[in-house]
Amino acid sequence: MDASIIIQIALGGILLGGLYAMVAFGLSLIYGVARILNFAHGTLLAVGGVAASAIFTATAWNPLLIMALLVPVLGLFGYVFYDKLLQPLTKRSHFEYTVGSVLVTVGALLILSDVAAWIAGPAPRNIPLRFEAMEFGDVIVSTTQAWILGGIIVFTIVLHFYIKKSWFGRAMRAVTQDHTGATICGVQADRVHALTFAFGSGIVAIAAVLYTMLFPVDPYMGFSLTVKAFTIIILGGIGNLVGALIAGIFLGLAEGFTSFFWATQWAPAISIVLLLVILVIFPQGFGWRKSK
Amino acid sequence: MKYTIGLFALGTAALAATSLITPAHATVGSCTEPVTFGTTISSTGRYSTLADKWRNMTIEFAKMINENGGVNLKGCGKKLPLKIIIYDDQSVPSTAVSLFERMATVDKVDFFVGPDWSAMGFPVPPVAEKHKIPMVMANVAAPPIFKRGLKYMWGTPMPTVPNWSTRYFDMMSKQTPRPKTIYFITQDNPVTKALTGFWSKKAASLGYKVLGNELFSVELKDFTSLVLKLRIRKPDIIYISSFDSPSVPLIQQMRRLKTKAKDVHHALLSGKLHKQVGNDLEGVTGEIPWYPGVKGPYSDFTEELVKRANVDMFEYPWTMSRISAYLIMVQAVERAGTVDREKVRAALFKGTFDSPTGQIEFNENGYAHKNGAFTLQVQNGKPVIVWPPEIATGKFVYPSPSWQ
Amino acid sequence: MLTIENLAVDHGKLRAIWDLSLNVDTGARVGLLGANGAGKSTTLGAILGIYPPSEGDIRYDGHSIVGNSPPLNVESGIALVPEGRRLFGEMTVRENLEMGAYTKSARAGVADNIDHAFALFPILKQKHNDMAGTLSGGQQQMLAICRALMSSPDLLLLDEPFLGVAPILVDEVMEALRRISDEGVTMLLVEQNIHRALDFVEHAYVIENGRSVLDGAKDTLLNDPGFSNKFLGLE
Ligand SMILES: Nc1ncnc2c1ncn2[C@@H]1O[C@H](COP(=O)(O)OP(=O)(O)O)[C@@H](O)[C@H]1O
Ligand SMILES: [Mg+2]
Repeated sequence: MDASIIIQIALGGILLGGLYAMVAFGLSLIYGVARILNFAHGTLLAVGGVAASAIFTATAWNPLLIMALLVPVLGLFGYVFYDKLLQPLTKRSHFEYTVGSVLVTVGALLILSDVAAWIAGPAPRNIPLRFEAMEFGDVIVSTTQAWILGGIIVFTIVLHFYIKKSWFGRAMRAVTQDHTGATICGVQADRVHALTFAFGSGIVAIAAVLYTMLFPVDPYMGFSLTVKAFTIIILGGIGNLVGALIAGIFLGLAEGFTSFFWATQWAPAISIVLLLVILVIFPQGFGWRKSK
Repeated sequence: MKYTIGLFALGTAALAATSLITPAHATVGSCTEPVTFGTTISSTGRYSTLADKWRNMTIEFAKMINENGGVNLKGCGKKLPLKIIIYDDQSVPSTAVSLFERMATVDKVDFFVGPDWSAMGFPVPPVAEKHKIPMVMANVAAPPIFKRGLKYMWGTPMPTVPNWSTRYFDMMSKQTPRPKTIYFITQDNPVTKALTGFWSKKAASLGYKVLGNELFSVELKDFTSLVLKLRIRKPDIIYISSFDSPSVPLIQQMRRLKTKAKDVHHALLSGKLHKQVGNDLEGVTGEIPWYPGVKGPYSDFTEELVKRANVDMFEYPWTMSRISAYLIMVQAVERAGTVDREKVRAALFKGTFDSPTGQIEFNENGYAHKNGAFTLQVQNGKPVIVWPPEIATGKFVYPSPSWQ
Repeated sequence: MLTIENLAVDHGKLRAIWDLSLNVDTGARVGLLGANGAGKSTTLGAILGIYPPSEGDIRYDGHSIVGNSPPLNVESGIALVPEGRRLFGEMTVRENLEMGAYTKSARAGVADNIDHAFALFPILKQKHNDMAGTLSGGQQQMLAICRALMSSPDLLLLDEPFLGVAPILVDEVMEALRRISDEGVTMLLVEQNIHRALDFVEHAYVIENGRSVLDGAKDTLLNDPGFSNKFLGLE
């Protein structure tokens, strides 16, 4: 097999996997802090991507500018979403909290998709920005891909250090590891929950713009992303960004190589297959996994 | 949750209210009342992007018929006006079923036209059968629907699976250098799979070497691997059988990775795809049942109709099947010379009718089995009919320069 | 400094504290003693604001703090070394200490307070980059105490700080607590081990089934026949 082909497939897989990982970051932080499986999380990428595409079509702005606009908007949405709809559930019993949060996030998923489809139409859209392609022998890399790859790497590093070093990052980790312990230290748990929703949603806004520059988005595509992000968290460990990035890229590569060596139709299903296989073979998870 | 339930309640209430205020239609088969067709259109819901302009177009259709005096009934010795009752089936088969039931019993329409989509083609025709009301459906293509022995049901999908790419392959056989190899890429969907299932066998029998047959799911976004397979196998023809949205990333990534072929064929090409991928579609060939400028019976009428209803046939390629269903029903009633449902049924049975696309011929199952399509190519951002030569509005550019 | 009057606290539908009153003077070392399940931890939790009282009053520095959130109470100088330590197992020793200084007013003093903690327990300095979860029980308890000190509290609530601490380390922890007390920090200590508690505190309250039943200075209690019969004999 020609090395250039392997490299080309790997490149596609790494890009897609990196974007999956960015979705997983927020989902993982939110689950860790608030113990809520946010089923609407991937849908935020779908809706954010639709919005990014609509803005680009209307204004032809630089995608970075669109990002700068969408991050606070989705962040605010995440904050209000937790504060107004999910926080009131925390006063209920554990059972009602768990079931209620599933209902609220699934409901949000449906409504977000419908509203986005109603406003912007259900058809897929993208940011049709094409930069020159670079050719290295038989490997073709578009400048867009190179930028996005760089963007994902830089973003993951920045995010990693932010969570490691900042007060808010520490608070998120502390709440994840011991909720009561964090409260004793003077952390306002409710506020950290809402801010984590804002933070995770803001990350999704960045991922949404990058994703829409590479692939089409439509208002209804979010749930399959959420499922992939769940898979990544299980492989990479809750609240573990590096683990999530590795797991995301692993998943992206698996999809690419499945499509090439086996059949294209199996590629989207591979995440579920992988998940099952890994849960059976490595019930304790991998070495990099630090689950809590 | 609440939102969905609310909408549901609202919809039910609205339905109930309209059934109270609509007066019952007069006696079936008289010479004084208008000839009444009943139809549902997917004006909202998942199919709405394909059909959202048809309500207005249907109203215009009746208007244009009536501007010419109406439907000519020999039995009455005069022309009667045409009236079409239209409901929105919300793209939901069960809604369509109850609306047709309602049109049979409450509105008491004379005949049914529509609905569309195979999902509706299964449950709706039994309603027509029960009430013995002839029905000419439009975009209903799945062959099993027509093999159930129903006697009041016809369908005029455009094009039908076995005739979809006939003209395209005819065109390719006349090109130099002659293409020898073909690679099929198919969206995982019953209609698109039926298309490839038929044409991959047919291509082999026509002497092509089929280099690959790849199925992909609508969820797939990263086509790198598939495109690399194309680059390795180097087929002369890349035949894509997909609806226009799922193939968007495929086309884009084929371009990004500089795929080469003598011709790239997208069997279900439409203006919607063109809008999304823009220049990437340059030189791609596709098929369309009819396009303004193609002359034939009723072609002036149809050109005027789509102009009035502001329908771009390239953006709404499924429109011709709809219009044909209406034209066939009008012709069948005129042939019967009366609104007698049994006589109209006899006129429809194995009948041949006029349409701008040519003759539409029903087989004994009510299937318009010969409906074909014209071959088009995107040239300078515009769709151009390139085959057959008698009606072509431009010349086929081969091998396609943008895919070299 | 701290006065509790006729406190009642519920866990859901179950009442844990029925009627409890106590008083802690500034700079004092006071014990809160009682059997397992008597309501000691619940009382400390109520003071910090984790369990809101159903009845009664808690006054700190002369003001009622009933209804204040834990962050607010930490901000105003109360800190808790909780039962079970509640450390962040996958954060380093240093990060755990930093979390102790999370409140706005405490952040400026992080560096000084960390030095102070390392001086108090040099082993923590040695292990400052290790995950808290990898420390021994005694070391974890030291870390929990230091984390509470990071907010420079005036009132330190200690919930069984010797639990799980190896016998050879108990004295070191006790010695450190004395030094903290000598620096002027008021302390309310919960203990099940009466001898050890009375070794440390000057005054103690005894609670039973959520009610304060007895209190007095160390010597008074030791000489009280009822107290000795009930508790000391069991040791
Ligand atoms: N979080 C809680 N939820 C419900 N009941 C609790 C909780 N914490 C303690 N209790 C109950 O309250 C009573 C007092 O417990 P606690 O304050 O922990 O006692 P102590 O610290 O003296 O052992 C016990 O009966 C215990 O079961
Ligand atoms: Mg206790």
